[in-house]
Amino acid sequence: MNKNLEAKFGITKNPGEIIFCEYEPGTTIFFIQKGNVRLTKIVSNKEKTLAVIGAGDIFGEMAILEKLPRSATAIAEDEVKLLEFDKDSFAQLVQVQPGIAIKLLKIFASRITDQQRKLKIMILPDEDSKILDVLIMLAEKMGLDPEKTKEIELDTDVGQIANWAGIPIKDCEGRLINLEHSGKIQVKQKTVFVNNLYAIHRFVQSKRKSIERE
Amino acid sequence: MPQVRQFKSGSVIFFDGEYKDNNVYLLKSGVCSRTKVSPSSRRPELSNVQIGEFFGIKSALGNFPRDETIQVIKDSLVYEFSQKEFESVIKSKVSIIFKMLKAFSNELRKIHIAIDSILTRDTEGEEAFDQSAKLMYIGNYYYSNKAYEQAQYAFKKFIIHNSSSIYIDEVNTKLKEIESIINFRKSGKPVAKPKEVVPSDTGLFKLCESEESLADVLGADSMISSFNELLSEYKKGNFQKCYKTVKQLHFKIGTTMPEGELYERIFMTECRLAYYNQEYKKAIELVKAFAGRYKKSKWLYYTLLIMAECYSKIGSEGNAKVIYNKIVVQEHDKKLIDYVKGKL
Repeated sequence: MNKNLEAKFGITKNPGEIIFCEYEPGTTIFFIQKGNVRLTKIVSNKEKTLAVIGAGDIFGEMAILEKLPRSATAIAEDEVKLLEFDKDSFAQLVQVQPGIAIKLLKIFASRITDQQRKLKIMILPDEDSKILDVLIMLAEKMGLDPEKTKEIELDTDVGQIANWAGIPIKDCEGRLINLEHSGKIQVKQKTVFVNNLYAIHRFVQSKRKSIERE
Repeated sequence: MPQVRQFKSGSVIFFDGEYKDNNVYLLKSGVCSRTKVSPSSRRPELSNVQIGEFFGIKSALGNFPRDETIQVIKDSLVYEFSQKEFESVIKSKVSIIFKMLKAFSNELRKIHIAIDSILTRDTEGEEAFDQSAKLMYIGNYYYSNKAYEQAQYAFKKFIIHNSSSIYIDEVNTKLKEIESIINFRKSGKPVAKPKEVVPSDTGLFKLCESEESLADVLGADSMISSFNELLSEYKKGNFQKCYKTVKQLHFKIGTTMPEGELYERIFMTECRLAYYNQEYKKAIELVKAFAGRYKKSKWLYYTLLIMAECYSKIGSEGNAKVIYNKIVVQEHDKKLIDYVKGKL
């Protein structure tokens, strides 16, 4: 990396130091040169780790285009060297390192796609359908075609499913138990086993068609 | 180098949902329509692809199924780029990159708005969360988990962004305390853990604020003047000092618990300070002793209140409720009743 960039935009953080805090208004984006950063959210009075990212990754990107409250806390895991840019300095960076801009475009692309999919889930009329669609979505993310898949074990937990479905965790737990009783799925410690994904897929599709008709 | 391809009117360049390749296209000539389901209206929206416009970028870059259908209306010529070709072309074109970033972020914002509107519709009234105090809640989380540097960061940011909040004083107090803890740690002295004496409930504290000094009630005496001094330190919020003093007084008095309002007040204050110091079980025992000895005290219900708060803190909500109900039916003090009603 250009030494000039480091001098202008480089910052260092010690282990445990907060880079930015959830809900803090922000206008800058960060690029990790060295070290690891943990992204967390406080949910029901517990700190949950969303991800741990490292050298070459970007975070805080939502703020680059407009001033928004940060959606998570970023904490240095070890000694971390970062480059911090605001909108204007980022434009300068792109001239020098276009690869970063492309990386950012990819991040946005995947965010948009995820959120579009989430929206599709959320407009389903009932919680069971939402949960089933989340399972379909998770299979799609694994690269599977729900039209061609029957049995599948998904790497997920109640919290993640509840988040994608946009429903409270307690409700989600209850629904999953019911689905288990009806034989559609088996909820294990860290995974969910689906007995017949294709059947679930058809069920959700017909739900969608019925709301479209209304 | 991109390929130039011909498409006849009526044909489809790619379908919504198709997962075949990661090509990006540029319209050179002709007319093509784009059909895309809008996140906000959830209906298919029709638009025309402009000459010189790239399309298929998002799905190509992210390796996703296509999210729109591109149909040829009039015979068209398109440039077809592979993902790699596309990336090398735009690398040097900063303005195009920024245009795309802007377009993406607008799209993302629309989707967020659509999602938020569904979420608020579904959970209306579920969480009455004070939006402006969110940073403070984060600080409180770290503070209660003894992550002081992190709490300091969050509290400082809270103050910067919410300078007129009603919580400013509370946060400043915590910041001062955190600073002294951090400085104490830095000084390298062997860690004799300083007991953090902080009112864990400002309601109870406010309730006791108006207690009169005893000189007005009983006249001068060394123990009385010690107690009055204690009371004034208490009102200033110097709880560490108060707690130390009241324990000394208790030791002086001994185990007998003599008659008289002075002693009632001293023991009640000790109960309260133990509570502030988060020594809940100790406070409960002290209150039991008080209630056993001073059954007719006018301070009995104030002291019982401390016990209820302690039970609540240690998770014995059942016990807490029993005591709150006892307090609510006494006729001594209306302020007390109002406070407890708020708790029930």
